[in-house]
Amino acid sequence: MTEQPELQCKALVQLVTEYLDDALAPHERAAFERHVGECEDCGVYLEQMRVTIAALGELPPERLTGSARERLLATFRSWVGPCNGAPRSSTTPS
Amino acid sequence: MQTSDSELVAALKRGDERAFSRLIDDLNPSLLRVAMAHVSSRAVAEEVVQETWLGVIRGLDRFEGRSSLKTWIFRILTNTATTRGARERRIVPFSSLADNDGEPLDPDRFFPSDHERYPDHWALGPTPWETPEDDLLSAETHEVILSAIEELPPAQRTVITLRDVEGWPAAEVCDALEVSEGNQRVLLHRARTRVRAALERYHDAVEETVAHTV
Repeated sequence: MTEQPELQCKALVQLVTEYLDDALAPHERAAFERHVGECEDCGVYLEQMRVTIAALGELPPERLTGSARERLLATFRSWVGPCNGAPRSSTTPS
Repeated sequence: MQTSDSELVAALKRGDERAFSRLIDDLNPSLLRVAMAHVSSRAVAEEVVQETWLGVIRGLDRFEGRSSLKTWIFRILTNTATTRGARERRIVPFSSLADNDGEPLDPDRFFPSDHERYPDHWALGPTPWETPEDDLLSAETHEVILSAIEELPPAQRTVITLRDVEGWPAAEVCDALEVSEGNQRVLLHRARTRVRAALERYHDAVEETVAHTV
């Protein structure tokens, strides 16, 4: 029976994203969690990754300026129009 | 195409302005951020997004739903943005793993593999970050993160933007950008490692300043 090799710190940091995406195989996940439980540095690193991701999620959304949005809606209105199947501009290829 | 997708497309083709309005509001934050990964300024990115939506309006008739609506829109965006980016002479190849940026995490932070006692273990471990006590620090943190994102190679920037900033699930990102789950994760991993490293440098600098002030 082969023994599972211990996961070392340098390898663990490469697996953090897979771990957080729940993409590790069960034995890899177990080795990951075992090491984090025993290694203070890796515990700190994992926590910092989580903080980083949370901070990314807190960035305020980018928005189009109001006038740009209005122009877009006006274009949509004029292009598609309220009537189904209405003929478009003559330059539209069929 | 999903049911909700086909309903939305039908509404758009009917000229349902509310549906289009909701679609714009829903996707614009993501489109803007992704556009900014390809071009030199926010102003140009806004133009790229406008052109994208015009392309969507013009192409609605021909859209047959073989891909999801989001994928189709993002394909138009990527084409528009890379054309514009190339015109500005900022060459931005969007191939998944082409940006080879080496090790974001300095290998010297670890003991070598043949170290007698601690092979591959942290030599210089991460220092726990102080929790900021006031909003000023929090705003600075946001600046650090924004700068870090801006310096990412475009593919990494796009993936981390959609996944972590905009909160898209992995499957949607893979679908919209037409990359495999594995590639998407590699890009995300590299991007996150870099952003975390930027935050680490910031925190180290803050603590050094505090130490010298006392």
